Amino acid sequence: METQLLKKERLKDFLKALGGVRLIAPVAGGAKTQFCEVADIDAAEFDLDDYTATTKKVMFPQNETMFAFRSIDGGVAVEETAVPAKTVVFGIRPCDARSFVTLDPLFTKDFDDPYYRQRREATVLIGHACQEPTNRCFCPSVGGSPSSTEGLDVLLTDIGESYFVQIVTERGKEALGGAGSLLSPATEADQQQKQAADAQSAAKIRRSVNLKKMHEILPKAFALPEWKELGSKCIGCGICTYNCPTCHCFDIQDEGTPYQGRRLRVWDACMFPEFTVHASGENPRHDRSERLRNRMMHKFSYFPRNLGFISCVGCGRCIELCPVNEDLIQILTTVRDLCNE
Amino acid sequence: MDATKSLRAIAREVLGRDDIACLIGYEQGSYGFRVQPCVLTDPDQADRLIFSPLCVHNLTNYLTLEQIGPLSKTDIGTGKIAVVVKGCDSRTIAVLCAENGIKREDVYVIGVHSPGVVDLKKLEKRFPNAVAPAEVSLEGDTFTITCEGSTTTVPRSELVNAKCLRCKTNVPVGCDVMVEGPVHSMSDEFADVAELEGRSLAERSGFWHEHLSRCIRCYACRNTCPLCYCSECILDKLRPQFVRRSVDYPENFLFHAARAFHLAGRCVECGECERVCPQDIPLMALNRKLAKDVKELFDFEAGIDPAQKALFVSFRPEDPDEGIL
Amino acid sequence: MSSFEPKIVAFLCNWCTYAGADLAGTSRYQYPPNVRVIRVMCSSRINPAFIINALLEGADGVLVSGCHPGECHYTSGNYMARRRLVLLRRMIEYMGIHPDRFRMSWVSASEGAKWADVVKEVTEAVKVLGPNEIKREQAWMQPSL
Repeated sequence: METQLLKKERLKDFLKALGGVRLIAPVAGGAKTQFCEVADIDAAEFDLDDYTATTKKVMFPQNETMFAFRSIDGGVAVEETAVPAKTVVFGIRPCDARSFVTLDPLFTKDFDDPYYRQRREATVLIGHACQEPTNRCFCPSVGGSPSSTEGLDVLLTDIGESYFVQIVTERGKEALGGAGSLLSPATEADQQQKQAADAQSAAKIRRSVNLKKMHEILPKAFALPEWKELGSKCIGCGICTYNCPTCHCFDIQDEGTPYQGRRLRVWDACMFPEFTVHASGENPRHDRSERLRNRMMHKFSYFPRNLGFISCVGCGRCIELCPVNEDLIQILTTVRDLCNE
Repeated sequence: MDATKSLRAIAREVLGRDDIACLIGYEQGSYGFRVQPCVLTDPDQADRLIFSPLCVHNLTNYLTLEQIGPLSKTDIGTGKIAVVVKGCDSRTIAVLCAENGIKREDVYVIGVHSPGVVDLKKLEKRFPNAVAPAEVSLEGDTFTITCEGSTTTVPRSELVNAKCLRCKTNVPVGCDVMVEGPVHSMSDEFADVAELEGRSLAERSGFWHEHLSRCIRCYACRNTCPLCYCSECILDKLRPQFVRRSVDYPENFLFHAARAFHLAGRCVECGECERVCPQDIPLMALNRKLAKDVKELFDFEAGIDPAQKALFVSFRPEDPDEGIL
Repeated sequence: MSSFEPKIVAFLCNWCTYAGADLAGTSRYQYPPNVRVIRVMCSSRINPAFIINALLEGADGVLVSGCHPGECHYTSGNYMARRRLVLLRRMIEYMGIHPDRFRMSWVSASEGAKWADVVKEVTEAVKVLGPNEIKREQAWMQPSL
């Protein structure tokens, strides 16, 4: 793939040169780094490595107006939502970019979801290779790496004074058009520095989980009584699901008054008790441990069996943010041990 | 006077009793500084228990959390649930009994004198990326942290949880058995609340707008609160619906204001809501405002006296008429 | 702001204030028309969430009015309400909502004049504050025309 070099001190000029687009980046400041729109590129301070802020909201917002309606003489007028503006996401980590590789088939394969698809088509992902993986990271266990280009249009790797720029897709090449003058060709020496940086980052990842044949082990382990204990700590909140870059469940609600309003898609979570409540009041996943088991099976068994890949990118947010230390690495390792695999 | 050793001895004895179904305590977590709640049913498991300044969770949450796995009635049959509590946690049990949320005879309360727990966020910032199991102990005014092969000491004031600096109940109340330890006496002038009260209306509005806009309505604060246990919660009920499912400032305002108010006179300030929040929202600033006003207006404190009646089922004819026309 | 007419939602207890407001009407007392009345059986029916919900639904001010302490038709309902709502007012002020947006009053069935005075006072105070800023969005579509 095409490679270039960008001097680090020119980063803001680079972002400005992408021209006339909505820029989203991990913005530092305030109590917590948020992935949000950058109004003033010069004033913005980026937090590029250690954010736990959710990235999936770029393509799959927490609130998505599907259409608006109002009652008029003779009926109802309906207004479709506008096509999203052209967007550039800068500073997304490779793990988070990989999440869109899992979300794409979900939202476009069997059924075309115009809301997701239009945002996807309007967005260019410029990633920043991970330099400081933390104790939550385990992306190599799911086939990723701190310098993976999967899902990205462009990847920037910090090699000291410059960024090593990899232009991964046609869309990425097109997006960088306006910034061409700021880029210079990458040399053999730069290439070697890039390899060294990649190796250094990868070496910092210290947690892993053996997922070999996990998609077959989990169904065999379904009836194990140990799930009760594994899931008994869980408090049934939505921290893991809402922060997970690959979780995608949603609910559809109508809001407004009887005369005007909108149809809205909002995030939902399989960990909530009412997720599977039937109209009769019956709940097939009544226990929190049943819902936890379902989540593990969804990500590490149903997804691989139906779509061919694991629905986890190894970002570790669920592990770090869980208030009661429900840790999928611990859970899946225990399940494997119990099945003597 | 090792709390862990004493606790294990008590647990071994308690789990051997016929009238005890299980014991909820703390054990080593899956990596670094993590500690996890555990549910034990056998005396042989007693050695899994630990007690250290990393034990921040309020385990009484599991007394009221629906479907507690091994604790659902069909699984354990009859028998008391034993639970390990620190001072702040013990207040929860007093409140739950006063409002008939649980029956006192259904629980066996194991109190532990706690000299203070850490502020986990400060700890992980100072000792980042711990993977091998790490330990923290507190002796007098010094924390000793053993992490990734090295041992460091840190003054208590730099890492201790803010709630421990104003703790009024580091001797747990209403316990069946106690693990003794050092005791401090502290007072609480609600200085943190007074500071926010002292700002202008516009500044306060801006403060809450900034923080509550970040809320993603994961319900972790509500689920972790031992006193939020309504089988149908007003905050996510659909028929009738009070709080819309859309996540924006007005709905988040309603969510947090209504939840805080429903805890008025019940919140024991264990601080769990703020600890679990993935968006670092200062929820204690809100709950403590209510605790301060409840004390000022009605001379009432939640959970200190197990015999006290709930705040809103009682009244005095001379209650303040503040602002009433 | 002189053209701003606040919308005030008033929860009135059936036995005292609602009757008092009725008396104000039959006695032809003049008072501002900004109040929308919701009748409840007792002031203690008021869940604090109603107040905040009313503000979110577009009310610029909320009034809760019941029997005088000691005269509650259900003996002690208004004492319970008083505890709750005095505390609620302090809490929402702390969260940035002006305390004049939420008032309570005791108006008995024979106090038609007082009712008119209460409405006047509350309306004037809310008028000065301007429209309430914490409101739910209800319209996502521009009206054609």
